[in-house]
Amino acid sequence: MDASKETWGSRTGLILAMAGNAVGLGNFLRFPVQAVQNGGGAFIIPYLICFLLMGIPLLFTEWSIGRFGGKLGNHSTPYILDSMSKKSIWKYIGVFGIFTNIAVVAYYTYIESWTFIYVLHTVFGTFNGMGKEEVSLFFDNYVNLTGSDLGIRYLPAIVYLLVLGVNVYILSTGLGGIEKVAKIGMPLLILFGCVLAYQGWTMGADFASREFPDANAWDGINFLWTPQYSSLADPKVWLAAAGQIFFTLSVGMGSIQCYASYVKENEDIALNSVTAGFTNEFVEVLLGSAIVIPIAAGFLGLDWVIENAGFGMAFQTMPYLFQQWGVVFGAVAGVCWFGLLFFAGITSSLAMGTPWMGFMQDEFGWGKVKGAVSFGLIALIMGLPTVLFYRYGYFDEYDYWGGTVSLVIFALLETILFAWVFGIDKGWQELNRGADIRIPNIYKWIMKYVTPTLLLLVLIGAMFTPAGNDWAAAVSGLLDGQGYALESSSLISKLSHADLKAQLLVNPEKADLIEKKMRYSSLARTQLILLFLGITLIVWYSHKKRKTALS
Amino acid sequence: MNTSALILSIATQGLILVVTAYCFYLVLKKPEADK
Repeated sequence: MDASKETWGSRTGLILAMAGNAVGLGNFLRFPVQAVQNGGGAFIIPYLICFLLMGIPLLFTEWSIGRFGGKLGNHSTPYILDSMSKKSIWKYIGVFGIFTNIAVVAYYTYIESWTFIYVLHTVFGTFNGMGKEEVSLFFDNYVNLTGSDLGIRYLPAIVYLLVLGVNVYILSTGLGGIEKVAKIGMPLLILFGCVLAYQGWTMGADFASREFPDANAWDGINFLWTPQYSSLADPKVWLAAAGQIFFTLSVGMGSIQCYASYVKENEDIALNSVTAGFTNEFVEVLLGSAIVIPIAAGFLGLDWVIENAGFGMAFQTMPYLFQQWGVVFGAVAGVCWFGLLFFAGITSSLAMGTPWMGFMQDEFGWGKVKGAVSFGLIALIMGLPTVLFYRYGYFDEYDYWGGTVSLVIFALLETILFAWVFGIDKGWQELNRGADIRIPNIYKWIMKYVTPTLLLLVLIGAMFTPAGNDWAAAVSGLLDGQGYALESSSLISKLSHADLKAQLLVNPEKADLIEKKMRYSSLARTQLILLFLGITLIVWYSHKKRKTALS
Repeated sequence: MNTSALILSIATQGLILVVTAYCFYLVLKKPEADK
């Protein structure tokens, strides 16, 4: 089917695909951890304010940009952005909208492959009888390629290939296939989430053990929801809330614009975008807050949770905890947990394939199969090193530069394009054409001034994170002439591997591993730069081709 | 569960649930693109 004529089969399918794009692993893993680390219940207040001031306006912006581009036959950001301004630079800024998706899908499908293999391990009872440390070690061995592989060398790479292949197959069926996966995956994800959230809300202190006699799920729930109002004055909390809203909605990637480019010219985008955004919030706040933290607190106690809260809990702790519910319900809970993570992952990774496919179809007439297979091959070339060199930080490097920094930069630039270059009046008209709801006029002002300012603050916050994340002390120190000490995890410090150098000072006995990490992270950055340049070259060539066709 | 946590939890989750449900109600009322 010609890309310019292809469209979504149903409105609910579109909303579920968009919500599926937004709902990802971060909803269940990142959100509760951020809440725990940023004042518990108080975090939700800046979080909701940022959702209204940054999340919703960004959704409006990206849906509008996408539908506008689709009307002109463009289905990926290089030419969508190009059609909004006379300056040719925008088509090269649009490269971010393809680059980010490939960079992220490369390692994201690897996480998907973990969830897939963990569903199988749960069904076959691999974790039965294992202790907490054993379960944690099982994961370490798997990702470090040092075991947990059923005797099959490079099993993680094989499972990764399999999951990537599933993604490619679904992508090759076009929007229809993506819609089908969203219509099946999203309800299942919510069902699995509800089963686990019910457990989180009702387990109380029933599973306190001799090792953890004070364990109580209610402590986790209380901690998550008790407001500590003093933290509202802390800029760190606001930056964390803005960052969480930003990443949870999958904005700044180019995939929303691509999906929206297949929406019909006069079809609503205002209500659709709000519905997709709130569906994501439903999954994140109602389900995400009721699973990991309460369940872990119910078995291990709140102190353990506060000390160990992090991404690793999903694979290193949860399988052990589920066992404590007995063989049958433990297996059910495990399948629910890894199943929901798998669906959260695949509905997002499918969205990442469409910008490349849309671009190649628009510019070079590539069909769905050719587009999907080529996408899979590039993702494989980019992703295989993340599998093979996970322990040397290849994965983390992609996640930071491809999945974090470039998103914020692209979102900031596209909001400037939409509100200032294209013009907020034209943009507002585009957003409201065919709208099924009346958007309050204040949003016109928010989209022009507030959202770009917030994005700029998030970017500056990431670039110049002060030592200890203590903004008040850093600013007063600067004013007193004592200089400004950067946190080793700040963007500026990361550029020079300051984070790894700091590790080297603390752990000189690990010098060999840390030096290897520096080398591999430089290699990962080179690969990302080459990918960006490669896509830029293809965009340049397609532009030349367009000009030749016109003359 | 302490009172302030209970109030914040019910208010936030209730608000999100109601808005999400209302949005879907509006969408399903006018599913013109549905085949």
